[in-house]
Amino acid sequence: MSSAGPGDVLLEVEHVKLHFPIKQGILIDRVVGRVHAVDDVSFTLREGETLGLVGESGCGKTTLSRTVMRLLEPTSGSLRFSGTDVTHASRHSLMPLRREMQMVFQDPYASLNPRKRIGQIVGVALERAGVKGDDVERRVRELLERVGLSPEHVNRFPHEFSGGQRQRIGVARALAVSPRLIVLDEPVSALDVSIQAQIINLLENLQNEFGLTYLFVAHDLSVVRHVSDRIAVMYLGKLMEVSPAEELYTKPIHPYTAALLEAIPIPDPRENRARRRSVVAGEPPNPINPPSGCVFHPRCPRATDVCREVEPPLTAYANDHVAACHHPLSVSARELAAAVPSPASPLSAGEATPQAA
Amino acid sequence: MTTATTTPAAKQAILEVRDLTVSFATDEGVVQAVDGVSFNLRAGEILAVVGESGCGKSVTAMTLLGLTRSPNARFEGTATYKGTELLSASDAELQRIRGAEIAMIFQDPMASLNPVMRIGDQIVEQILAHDVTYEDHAIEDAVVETVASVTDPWWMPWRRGDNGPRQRARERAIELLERVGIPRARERVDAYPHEFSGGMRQRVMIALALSCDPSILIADEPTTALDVTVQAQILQRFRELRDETNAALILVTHDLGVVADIADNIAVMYAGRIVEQGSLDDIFYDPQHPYTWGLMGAITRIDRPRRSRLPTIPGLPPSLANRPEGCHLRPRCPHEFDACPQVPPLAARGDAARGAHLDRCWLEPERKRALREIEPGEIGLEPKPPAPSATTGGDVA
Repeated sequence: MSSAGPGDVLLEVEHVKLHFPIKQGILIDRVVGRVHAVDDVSFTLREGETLGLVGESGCGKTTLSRTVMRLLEPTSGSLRFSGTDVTHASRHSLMPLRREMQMVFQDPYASLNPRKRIGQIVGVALERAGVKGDDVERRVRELLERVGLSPEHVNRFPHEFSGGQRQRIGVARALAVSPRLIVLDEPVSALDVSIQAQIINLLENLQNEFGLTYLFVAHDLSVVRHVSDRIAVMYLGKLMEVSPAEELYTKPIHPYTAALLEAIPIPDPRENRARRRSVVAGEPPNPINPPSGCVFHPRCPRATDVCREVEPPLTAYANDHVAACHHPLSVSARELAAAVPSPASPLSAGEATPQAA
Repeated sequence: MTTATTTPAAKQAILEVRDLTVSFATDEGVVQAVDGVSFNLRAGEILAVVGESGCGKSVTAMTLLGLTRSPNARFEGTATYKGTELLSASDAELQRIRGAEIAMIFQDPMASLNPVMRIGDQIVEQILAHDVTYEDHAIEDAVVETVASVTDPWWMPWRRGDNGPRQRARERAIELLERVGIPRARERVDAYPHEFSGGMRQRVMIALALSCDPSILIADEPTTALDVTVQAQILQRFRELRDETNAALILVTHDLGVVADIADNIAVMYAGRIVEQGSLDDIFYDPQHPYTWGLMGAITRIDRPRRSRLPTIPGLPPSLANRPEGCHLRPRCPHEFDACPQVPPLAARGDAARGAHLDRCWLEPERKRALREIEPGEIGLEPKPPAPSATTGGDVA
């Protein structure tokens, strides 16, 4: 495959939908409904950048990351990796692609085969990449050392390691084939705080060293901020906001993002007491039958009639900051006037960009 | 001991734990899960027990309810709840206290609710188990209910009436579910746990724990499995319940954000010992133990500019079967010196006025103040300047 320099588009996701059918029936399956797990999501990922993908459980972030990996086939839309359309690529034609993109899973206890030694777990990936003979063992040792484990650990089993160490093994396995893109699905949420920091620092070092591109999926906004260049906020299968990492925290445009930020307790008692917090009520609705219009409207403090009827388009504001809301927060009238509809906007969304009240 | 800041003399401790030690005999030797833990709990107090996994915080909580009793477990010390010694209490006594006086909320609501029992029935069961009158009239009630179930068919709703304690318990269950914020509680009282989302299940757990008006609630990582918006709702609920019922709460958690949000007092545990204990502000603004510095440093904060790299605590917590001599943090602590092979006592150091702020570290308070500040305004464990290979700490102990 053609090698691209930093800044080139590595992955393009266009209007990807993934609906899981719900079937019922005794002899003949009838589709009685659909779970709108991912509902018309578009974004691009550039070489060397980290895109954080956040949202509450059930918002479709894991499904989206698995679709990007082509572990699931999208219902519609298109996926391009490094210029090649892989939306409906067969298992066979995906084989070379698997070397380019790798995944690190959430649960380090479930994602390593308990009956295989560490050397085998990492070695198999190397063999798939074409490494042969003694080189495999040598490379495994190198990789283990690189992720902060001792090379003597090659003959141990996963149960002999702690959670943080297992996650390092998962990272080593992903690195084995020298991928360009690594999808990290909640890589630190199962770990203790002090260990989280170790793994995040490791991931950052590896990115600098190998020029990796990360899609970092997490539900924790404070962790995502630390690693990401840009952050995408998902809710009920749709993108609510995509923003440069820092700007999301200082200038959230979508009320849902603001609600998420407000819900995070600040580990500082005085500031926490001083903070006026409005707790957003309720829980995410059922993705089988998502609300009309803006999917967030039943929980949104700013919702009006238009939110109930028209799905807001993703609107591009200054600084590549995109949000789907009829009543955006923290934007001035001038910014509002300069806003344009984003091409990433869902096809079912309305046309009109938000107007100043 | 934990509080001097919030105590009028009238506020008596309802739970006193003194030198609690729990050890388990295992294949790998004796595991000292809890080692000399002491604390007091007053009515209406929220005590947060903080530490990494395997530091003994959950074992401490479970021991109070006798949930760690087993042939290979050994207990020392005392835990006195309103005059009753919990460690030596008989099973019958514990049965009475459990749920009614001290209730527990577990981390994983799916694993701790019975999946084949309607949630209302689970609450009713607990209420009836502690209802003395129910025990007394068990046979009569059974008769009344059987008769009612025959003579009260669904097509004659007007004949439904009060058929005994079970009906009253059911009403109470509905009221409890409403109180913890479950919408349409009357309809959902007959739902099964799998019909609820994670946040709703955790509310059911809280309703279950509250069913007998306990004076102490022990919550073991109650919000860890939940999303932040739901977490905020649940914490809000805890605060309201404390104000309504004046129950004390022991909150076992590793999330310092949650602690800052809700706790009055904090005990920081490491490898089975309390290494630092004090009021919320003591611990957050004047942390004395290097381990607490490490925990503070590893927090990612959304309200501050982001740091280029996160400070870490190098290495891993020790195995409880094979803890280092002296101060257990020694192998991970960059500030180790001659005194550390001796076990430091949990004591107030520095200003005598700060009598309720205890820690286990030999360092002089003056020196601590200098060491803990890794950047202006930032507390952390890493020595200045930060070691270049901070990530390679993953060796097996």
